[in-house]
Amino acid sequence: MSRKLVRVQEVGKAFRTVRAVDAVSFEVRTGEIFALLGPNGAGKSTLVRMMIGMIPPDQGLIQWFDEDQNPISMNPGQIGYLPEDRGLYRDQKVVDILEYFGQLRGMSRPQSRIAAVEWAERLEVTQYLHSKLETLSKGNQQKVQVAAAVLHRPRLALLDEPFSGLDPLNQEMMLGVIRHLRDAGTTVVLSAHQLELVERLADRVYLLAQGRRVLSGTVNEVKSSVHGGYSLRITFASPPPSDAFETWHHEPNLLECERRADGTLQLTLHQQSDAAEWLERATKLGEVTEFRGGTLSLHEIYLRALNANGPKYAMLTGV
Amino acid sequence: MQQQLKMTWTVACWEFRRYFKLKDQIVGLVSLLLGAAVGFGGFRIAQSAGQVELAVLGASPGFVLPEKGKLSLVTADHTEQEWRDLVKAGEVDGLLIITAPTKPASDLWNAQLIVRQEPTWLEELKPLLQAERMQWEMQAAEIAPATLARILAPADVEVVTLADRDVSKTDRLAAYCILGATLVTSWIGLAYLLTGITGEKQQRVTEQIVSAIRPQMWIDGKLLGITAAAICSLAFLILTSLITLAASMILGFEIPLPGALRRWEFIPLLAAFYFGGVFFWNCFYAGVAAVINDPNTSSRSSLLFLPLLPMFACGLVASQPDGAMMRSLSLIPGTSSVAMPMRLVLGEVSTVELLSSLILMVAGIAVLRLIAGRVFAAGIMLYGKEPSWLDIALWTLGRRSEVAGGN
Repeated sequence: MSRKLVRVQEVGKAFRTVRAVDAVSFEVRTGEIFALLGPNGAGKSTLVRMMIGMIPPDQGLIQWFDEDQNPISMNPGQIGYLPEDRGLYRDQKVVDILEYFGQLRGMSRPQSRIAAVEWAERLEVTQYLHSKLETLSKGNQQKVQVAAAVLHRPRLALLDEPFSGLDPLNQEMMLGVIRHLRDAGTTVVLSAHQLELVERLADRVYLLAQGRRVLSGTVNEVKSSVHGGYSLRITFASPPPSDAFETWHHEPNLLECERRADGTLQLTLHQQSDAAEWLERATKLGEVTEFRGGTLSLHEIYLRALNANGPKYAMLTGV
Repeated sequence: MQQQLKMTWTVACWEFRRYFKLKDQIVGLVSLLLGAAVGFGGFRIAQSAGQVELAVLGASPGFVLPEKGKLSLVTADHTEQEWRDLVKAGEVDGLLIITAPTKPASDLWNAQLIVRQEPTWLEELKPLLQAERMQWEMQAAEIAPATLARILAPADVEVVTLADRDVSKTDRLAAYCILGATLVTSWIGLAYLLTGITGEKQQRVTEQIVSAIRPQMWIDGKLLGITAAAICSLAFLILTSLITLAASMILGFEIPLPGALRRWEFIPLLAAFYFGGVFFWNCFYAGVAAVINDPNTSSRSSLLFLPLLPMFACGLVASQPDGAMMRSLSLIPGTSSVAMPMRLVLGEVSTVELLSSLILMVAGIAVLRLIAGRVFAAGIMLYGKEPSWLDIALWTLGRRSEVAGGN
């Protein structure tokens, strides 16, 4: 069992009449990648800002722990923070910016200069080290921003939307950087909307909506916790009439049956073990040209969970 | 504590390097010196060039031209026509013909100047002609030159000053220089702080820095670095002035030093008030800049002109350095940084007043630094919106209003 690094306990925060975070509790464990998910305005950034002490919670407790699991006060030098609203000194040289941010996190000037060069190599921006930031492309500025947040090798890196503004190639590179951080011993908390990337990266996820917890756990735990964790997609050579499926609705393992515009049938089942029976049923109705089975993606679970959380999200997600 | 000081120092060094570019300052210094050299050189060339040779006919035996002037007298045994020919040929610059009949009658005295073209030196000649005509009139009125000199001499007033020291024109000039230096440095600091803080908000730098260090450390470092940069910028201007003054003295210009500046014990006091004043107002500017979203449109920008009022007040009442108004201004933090140095130069300041002023200024800086830190801490986290006056009032009292935040 890995040790806990941060404990968030019944934390809440309101801005005037808006309740941004409401009684949220979780633990971040040493060495894991923990993903905070949720739609815009769900309270993710507020939660991250409270975790690093930038804004105080109205209620609840945020505790930090040392290696021996003793509660300690937060040390900014052990945190790396990539804010959602981000930017750097555009009229300054990249190397000077990185050196300055390293020093602000407690490194000496020579140490931060060495780290700046190392991170520039890792992020493939070495050739821009002595250029002013404003001369770099948006993607490269984003890389410099990430380097500025983590070049001091923090115990915990809080990355708010690390993939935003990056093209698919650079998103893959960022994925590698976050894994590298984790492998080097840094615990990572991230928030992101790119759920397919989060699914590949995160050890655990925490889904928020309107400031409250909706789902949490490892990706597998989250998938199994959702009703209809298994889906089947059946494509017929010629779509059978809609009344052909009426008897299927009495099957206890079927959670949902959706006929799509392209003639594909999307079935959501409680359990995976029934797939063979469903193929047999389908072939009785017509020629099956494609039969695919699999667990729901995090993206689908996210949409379903939000749909279940209230009509507001049902409208937003179109589910 | 040591870590806090280290962080403050790191920020101060960064801000200083951002705004004080030695290369730019040296280029500015060299440019100014070159400008001064060209100005002085031109002046000297204008002085030495264009010596005017003038022939004079009909003048009294006592008619002379000053040795230092541009005009010089040419003497030769020529007739009027021969002189005219020489003027026409450019051999002589002018021929002055004075018509003064032996029986004096002022309306008959006449002077005629014959030149090739309009003379630029006519104004220099006129007083000489005036003296020559006066000489002729004296003879006409049969007044002895000594008698006339006594009549024309201004009333002689002997001024006896009872104060310990005399205040000269140069002292007054020095007092206004102190006022100007504080104003200029404050303006440089204002420009740096306003562009720096609003720029950091617009460039979204603040959140990342505030996650690393406390806002009070950040503003302290900022104030130190930017104040130092502003003072160094002014120091380069002063250095330029001093080099220019030294060069002027070497070239023969007489430039007296103000009495106060010859008293070396005043220098640390003047420096203390200057540095304190600049830091005081920079604290104010930092707090105001933190609540401005866009300097081009913000109504809060008018607050930045507030420090000018007490400074101008000091300038207005400088003629009465020991009057009630100036005494009050020299005690109030914010104005004492200008008023007290002016009084030191122009008036009489007791030790009690001096110490009170210093203590109040230090206390004022401590309080304003704290308030500026509170406003700064809350204000820098606001993007794209400005706080209300109520929000600002709450922040100055150390209470948080929840305008900051969002998701």
